Amino acid sequence: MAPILLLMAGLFLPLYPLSALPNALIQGQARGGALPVGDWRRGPAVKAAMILVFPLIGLGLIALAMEQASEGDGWATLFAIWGGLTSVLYAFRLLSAKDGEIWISHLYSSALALVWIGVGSGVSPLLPAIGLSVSLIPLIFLLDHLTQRFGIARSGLYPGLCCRLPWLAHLFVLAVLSAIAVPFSPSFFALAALAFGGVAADTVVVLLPICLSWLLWTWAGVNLLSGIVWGVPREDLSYRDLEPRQALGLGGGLIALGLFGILLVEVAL
Amino acid sequence: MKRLAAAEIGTRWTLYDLIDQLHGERIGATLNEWLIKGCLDFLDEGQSAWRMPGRRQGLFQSWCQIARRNRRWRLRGLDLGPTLERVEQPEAAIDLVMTRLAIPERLWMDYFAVELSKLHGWAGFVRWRAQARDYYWQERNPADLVDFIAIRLILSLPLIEEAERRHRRDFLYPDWVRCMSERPHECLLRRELHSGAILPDYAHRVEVALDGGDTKGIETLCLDYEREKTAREAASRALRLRELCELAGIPRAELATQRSGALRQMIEAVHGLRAREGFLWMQALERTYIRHLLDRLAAPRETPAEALARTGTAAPGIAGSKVQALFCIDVRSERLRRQLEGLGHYETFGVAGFFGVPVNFIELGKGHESARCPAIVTPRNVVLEMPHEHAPHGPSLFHLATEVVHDLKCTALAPYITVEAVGLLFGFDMVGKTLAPTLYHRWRKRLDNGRPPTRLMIDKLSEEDARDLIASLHDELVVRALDRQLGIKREAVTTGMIQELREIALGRAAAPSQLARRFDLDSATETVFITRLRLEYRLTPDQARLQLEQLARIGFRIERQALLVRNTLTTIGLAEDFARTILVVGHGSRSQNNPYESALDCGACGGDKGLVNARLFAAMANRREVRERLAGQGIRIPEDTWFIPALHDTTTDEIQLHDLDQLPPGRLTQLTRIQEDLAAAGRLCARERCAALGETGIDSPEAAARRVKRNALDWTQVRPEWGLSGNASFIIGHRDLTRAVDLAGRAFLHSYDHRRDASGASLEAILSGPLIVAQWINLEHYFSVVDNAVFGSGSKVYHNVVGRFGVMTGNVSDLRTGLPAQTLRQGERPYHQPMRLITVIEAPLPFVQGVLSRVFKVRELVENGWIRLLVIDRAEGAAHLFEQGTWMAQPWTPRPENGRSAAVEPARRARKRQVPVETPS
Repeated sequence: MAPILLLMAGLFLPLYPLSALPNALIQGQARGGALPVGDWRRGPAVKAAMILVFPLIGLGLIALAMEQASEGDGWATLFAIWGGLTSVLYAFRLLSAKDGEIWISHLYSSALALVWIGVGSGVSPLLPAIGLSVSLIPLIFLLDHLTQRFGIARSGLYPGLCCRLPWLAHLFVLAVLSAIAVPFSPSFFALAALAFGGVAADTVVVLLPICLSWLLWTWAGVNLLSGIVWGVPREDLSYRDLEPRQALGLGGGLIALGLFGILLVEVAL
Repeated sequence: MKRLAAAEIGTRWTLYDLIDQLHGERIGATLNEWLIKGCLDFLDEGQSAWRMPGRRQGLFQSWCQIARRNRRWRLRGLDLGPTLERVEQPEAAIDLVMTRLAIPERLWMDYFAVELSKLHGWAGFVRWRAQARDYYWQERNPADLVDFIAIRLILSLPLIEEAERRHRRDFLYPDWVRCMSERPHECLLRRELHSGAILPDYAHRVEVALDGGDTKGIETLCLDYEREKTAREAASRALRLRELCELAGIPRAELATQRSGALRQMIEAVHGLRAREGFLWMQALERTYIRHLLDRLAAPRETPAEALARTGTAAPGIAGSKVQALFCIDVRSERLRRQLEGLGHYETFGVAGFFGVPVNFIELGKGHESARCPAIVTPRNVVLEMPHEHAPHGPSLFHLATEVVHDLKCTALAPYITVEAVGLLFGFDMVGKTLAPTLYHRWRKRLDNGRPPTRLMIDKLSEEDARDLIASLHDELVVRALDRQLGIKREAVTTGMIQELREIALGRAAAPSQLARRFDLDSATETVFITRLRLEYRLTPDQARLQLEQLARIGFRIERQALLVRNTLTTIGLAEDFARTILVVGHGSRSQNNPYESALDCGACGGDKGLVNARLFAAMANRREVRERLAGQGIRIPEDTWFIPALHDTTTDEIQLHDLDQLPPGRLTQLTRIQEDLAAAGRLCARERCAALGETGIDSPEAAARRVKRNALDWTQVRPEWGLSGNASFIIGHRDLTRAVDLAGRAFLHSYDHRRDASGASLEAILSGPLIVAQWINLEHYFSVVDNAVFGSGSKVYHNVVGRFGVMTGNVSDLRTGLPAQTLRQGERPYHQPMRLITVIEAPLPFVQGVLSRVFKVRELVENGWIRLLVIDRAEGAAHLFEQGTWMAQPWTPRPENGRSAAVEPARRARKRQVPVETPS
């Protein structure tokens, strides 16, 4: 029963190829193809809810599985390796992703797959999972703002936002940095908790995928920023920056995230 | 929307351009990077510590040798070896690639032109090298554009083949022609998607459709896309047109009614203006400038000193105390001349900064010649700089340490340990240069011994002297060889023995020598020694002949010196009424960490400092023999007149007098006052300069002087001075025309008196020399400011010096040409106003027309609108502007000065006024 529960958990804490389902859902894919822009099922609130709830379901299933598994079964280590491989695979795919929805779903899969390493090495996975998922939320909302303005959130189509939409560009940079786990974001402390907590169990299995994935995330983050924030703006598009209220809301959310990161370090480390 | 046309393949786009545009590859960028790296290695002129091997074989051959062994390319699956094995010459390589790409031969030349334009900076440099005569590095490591294109094509071939494999398509010329004619919709959508010009909300749909490959679906989507994009563009243009109409005062209601025709008129006006809008703005700028210039030249004015003299507040100039000064025509001299004249007792003249002395100069301690004259002149004479006192000791400890650190930095492995060992020293250097540049520079200067005082060898050597000099040099070599090869010291041999050995080596005497007999050297040892003298010390008849030829180029004959001095003096109208002291002021700039430093130096001196030419001119003009010859030609320079060379530092506006040790003792008393005046004028200039640079917190000329000095020593300063930025006009005329007019450092001022130039020869010389150079400078600034990214070199903050010959942006880029943004722009706005050079000639119109008809190049520039020519005739009170092929009279009437008529000249000038006015031929 335990392996089946763990496999089910792999749908929510992505394990390749089970990760295809959460990826499709976060990308707004339905049976008949992509949902139209503006459909509520493709809205940022639904995506944010999925990103926050899926890991919790996955952790619940893991907890059930662990209760049933006897000592020395070895399933946890196997799933940790699988999670590590999944994470690196998605991080690598992230490098070529240009579409914002694909980007965020790949990053979700890569980040949350690392929680399996914590499971395998005896680290309490709850706070790392929350830290990793909550860091993606601001980016989801900012990508939605881009979709509202340009019809699509995609790198390379409307470069130079920093010149035309300074508020949005500033917050976008912060959101991307938070998502790729730069220091003082919750995801950074989540990674630190997984790495420091698990390193005693197995250095290679724990540190190699974490470090490799993190490296690839930062690379992909810079690619995303250079395709959207920097560059020469297009003259044929009309630009509309965030309203001050929206900017304040999003900025407040990012500050709250920072505070959560500090809380995480207090509790987890 | 414009679709891709097959006719543009090979004439506008290369094959890999199409792959990049239609399939999202980056072949062009990769190709550029690889070619730049190859060029960097090959063209290096001493910056690299580990040099490319085999460069003497030429660019293509040496590159091929390296390319055959490039493992990085092999790992990527790009093995150039087999291709390179099949070609030995670059022409064969070009033929091979063009044939394999199936490009029709009729398109080859166009294709090459497109290829060369991809890296126009590098291609331009290679072309310049190939055509430069006597360019050391080109002679040593030859390269030309055929090599350049061959390498580019050879590199492009495997990249195109790699893309063919990846996309499972053929990308040869016929395939592209077929693709564009059979699948135009797909081509259009692909280009839109990959060029980043696509409507964002269509991007996903287009990508899916292209991946699906359904031709019908692609066509439908393409038509829909074209419609939508056209509609959006139309909406955006309509909005802009409405805004424009509102600005023009046309009410929206009137636009809506068809009857008024306002909308149609507006659209036609916009379309009509589009092609010549830039030209229109430029003409507006020029007209405004011309109007203001004419106003200022017509207005009554006087220098502060004259004003004081007129009101009786100050005594008029004391006879004999006047100082004349010759300045370069450079726009930066205008401020200094104005300020100096404002102090009183100074009369200034403008002349091309090489003072009419074209020369190749060999600086002390340097082994090569540098041309000190405008690029359009080829100097025939060479001048050597010689120390006139021997250094009491060898190089200082500071120099030794500097050399050791430099050598350590430049070796392949030493930097790793150098950082550990002496890295801290660089830290001190950095802190000092950054936080207290003035103090730090003063301290460094104290450690440095500086250059010893020198003299210039300006006279020709007689053949006898030259032979003596070479014999002495050879004897010196023999003494050194005896010491090193045989351990025999100088005190053990006689002069006769040394001379005998020299003659044997030169083949003018036979062994055995006295030396061999005295030191019991066997014939074998003596033969080896003589052979070494010939091979290692180059003591051969051929070498001696070469040295004699080189010596023959050194110096000027007295007749030539007199001719050069006469030409310069007559051109500027200074043929009589010489002051006792005449300053000859060259100029140069001083800045730190600035690859563009030579752009701030004197253009008339080949982009170098003008001091050498000033020293040469002064030395020639001070010679008794020269003055005797000049007197014979009607130019009588009084015996007590002395020419003193000086250097104007255009960054700090400090003027340093030189060769004071040659000054007659009686003249030294006057020097203190001159030096004080120059310093005061410099401080006043510095205040003007600070205002132009936007410096704040400057409350006095002294503070301004301190600030500009700091700018010159600050290594973080990206704009030590504006240089020639802002140049707008070139005024050829008497100084009376411009005296006391504030031209804001924007005018080249060339002194000229048409009444002394009956034949027009002097004006002809000015037009065909200085004016051409000024026009180059003006156009360089013009193009650099109108499109700084393409014709200029962008921001200098990102520049890196490459190979000691140019700069790149970042670590790999095209070689940057033109001027950097910091030279031309102040923040977001251009500091330099893009205008054509407004050339003002003070002379009668028929006279100018006559001269112009003889100077083909300048006439071409004027008639084709590259120069705006304005002729002012003060005697007639008329001004004429050449515009659209005709001379148009401009409203201009010189107004009389307070208390005196414009025609009345100071008493001193009265003599010049009596020269009969020549009627133009």
